[in-house]
Amino acid sequence: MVLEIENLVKRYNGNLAVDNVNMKIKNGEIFGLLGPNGAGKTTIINSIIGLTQIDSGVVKIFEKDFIKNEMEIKKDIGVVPQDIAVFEDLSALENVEFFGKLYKLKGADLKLKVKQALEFTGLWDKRKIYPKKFSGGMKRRLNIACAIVHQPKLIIMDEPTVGIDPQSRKHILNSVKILNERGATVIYTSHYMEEVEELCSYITIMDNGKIIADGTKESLKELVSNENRMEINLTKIENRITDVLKKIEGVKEVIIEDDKLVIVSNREIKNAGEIINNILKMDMEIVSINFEEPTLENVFLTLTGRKLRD
Amino acid sequence: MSVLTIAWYTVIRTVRDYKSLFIMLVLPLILIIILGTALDSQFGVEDIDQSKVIYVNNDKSEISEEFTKLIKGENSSEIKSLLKIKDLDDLDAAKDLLKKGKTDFVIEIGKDYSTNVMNGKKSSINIFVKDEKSIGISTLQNIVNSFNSVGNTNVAVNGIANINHENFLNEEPISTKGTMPSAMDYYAVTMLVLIIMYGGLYAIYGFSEDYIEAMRNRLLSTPVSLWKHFMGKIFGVIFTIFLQIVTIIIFTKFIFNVNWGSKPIDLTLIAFTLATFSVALGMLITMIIKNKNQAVITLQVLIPIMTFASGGYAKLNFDSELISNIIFFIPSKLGQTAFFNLIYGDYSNQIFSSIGVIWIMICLMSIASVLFGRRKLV
Repeated sequence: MVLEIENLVKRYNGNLAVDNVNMKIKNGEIFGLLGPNGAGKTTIINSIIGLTQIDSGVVKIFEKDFIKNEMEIKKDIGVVPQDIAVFEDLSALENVEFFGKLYKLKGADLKLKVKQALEFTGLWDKRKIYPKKFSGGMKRRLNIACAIVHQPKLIIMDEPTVGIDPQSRKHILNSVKILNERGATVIYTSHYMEEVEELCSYITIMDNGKIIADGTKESLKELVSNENRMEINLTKIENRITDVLKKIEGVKEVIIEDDKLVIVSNREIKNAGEIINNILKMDMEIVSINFEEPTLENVFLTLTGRKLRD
Repeated sequence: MSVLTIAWYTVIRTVRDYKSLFIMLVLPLILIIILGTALDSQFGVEDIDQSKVIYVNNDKSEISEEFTKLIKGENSSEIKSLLKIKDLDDLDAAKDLLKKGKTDFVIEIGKDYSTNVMNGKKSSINIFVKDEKSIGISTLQNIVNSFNSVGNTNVAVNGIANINHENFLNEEPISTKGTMPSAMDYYAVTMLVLIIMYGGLYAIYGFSEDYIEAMRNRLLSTPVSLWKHFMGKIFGVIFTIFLQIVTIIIFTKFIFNVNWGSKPIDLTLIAFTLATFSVALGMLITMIIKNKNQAVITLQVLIPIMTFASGGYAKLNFDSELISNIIFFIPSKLGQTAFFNLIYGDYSNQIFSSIGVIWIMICLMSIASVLFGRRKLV
């Protein structure tokens, strides 16, 4: 195991931020930590790298107790923080060099690995430019270069794609895959379920400081596979429709999202016609109807009754 | 090694802040020119009272007689106007009079003085002083030094027990013309102290960025301990301030002809102490306020007040002993006192006392910074 967390508890001012969490991450995995803002993802990450003093529990990394072997363990961890943390007054090259030196790299080895990190993130040609002249996406890539310069065994990426353009997002997601193929274990936190679904081989979903589900993406989707999700776009929606539709046999949940109705039903019961009839009876004009494949978003919705990005 | 790495990159980053660097280097030079020129008339030679001197000459040979002529001003009306000489044979009696305040100084020439000089042995003319801040001490030293080109002069300081902190406040002219600070000299010191204090801004920029903002998490996730980060940052900022100090001193010495004394090592020690103080001050403010902009404003308000109260912009005289005592403990005042006494007084006790007080402040502020800083690590 690369990481083992046992009974981790962390409180802030008496409020539980992480509630008795257990977690195991195998070598070579891309481990996804999914949950809405405030779910406890960042607190867990901070606990793993010693930025937060935990109230109780044990964190073992590379089979060693983190607290007793903190400095030794940190040499093999690379952290991509949620907020961009690069020095605006150092060039891209100097930024990566600085962090390389903090990870005890020196001489020719330092030069080589700095070059590799900048090439990997597509910034080698811009190495002499100061980050203040970079776009948001380029800064994010430099943020990653600083974390991987020492070629760590475990890379922790905390929401690395927040607020960037699609091109940079794609670049970063590809980078994560390549780093993993090269042998690094990756912990990837996000509240973008599409990213986690695309990247991660094992996923833990958190809410309110607790793990509410975990497994491979396929096993997680099976949690909602006995359900049908029908999305109906309407020109107008009357709120009383939810009570009407919930009376139909098989309907589990009715959610109104702007001009859209989301109806979760038991897959075994064929009730689509009755649902549509009831809508039409209330003089609501249907624009389109879609039947959705299960997603991690559906899993979260089913487990919590809320959307991931509420 | 990590400490040096962090220190080096701190220096690079601070020096690259061209706007701040320009202000930190050019502003003091402009202020020195403006204040030094505009207020020059306030720094003329003041009348110096005649000092009472008891002269004990147990040698009475040709060499010491030459000194007697010199000290009694037989060839110099200026010396004669400055020193009132009274002869006495008994050194103990002379010292007794000194202790009772009946005289300002006692000059003693031992009985073997001339013999020793002739034989090339160590010989000395001793000056006993009750109050080491006495205005005439430098006059006496100059006379003895100019005479005693062959022998060694030993200045013995007496009556230490009577020194109180008021002695350290001395910033008045302490010698005759030639060594008294001009306005340019005065403001070179006070503006240097001002700018060193502003060095605390570098500390605020550095520490607020690294220990309050996002960078903190990144740095603390590296295999470098918190104290190494701190030390590296502190060394880097101190070194940057120190570079500025050296630049200002060299520039003012050679361009403005400012008198910085003749003891560069001691000057360096004082400058280093003040630079360390300013970093500790900036660090403490950052750790207490935990907001970069508010910390900057706090320091920018605090420093001009300290400079004004310590006479950095214009010399201030307070009749109240209480106010004088309070002002003595203002860091800017302590720094100015140390510099002035080094350059014009050579009173090592006063210098080290001022520096000592500053180091005590540095220690207290550092401890407080660590305590406040730890509260962040929840």
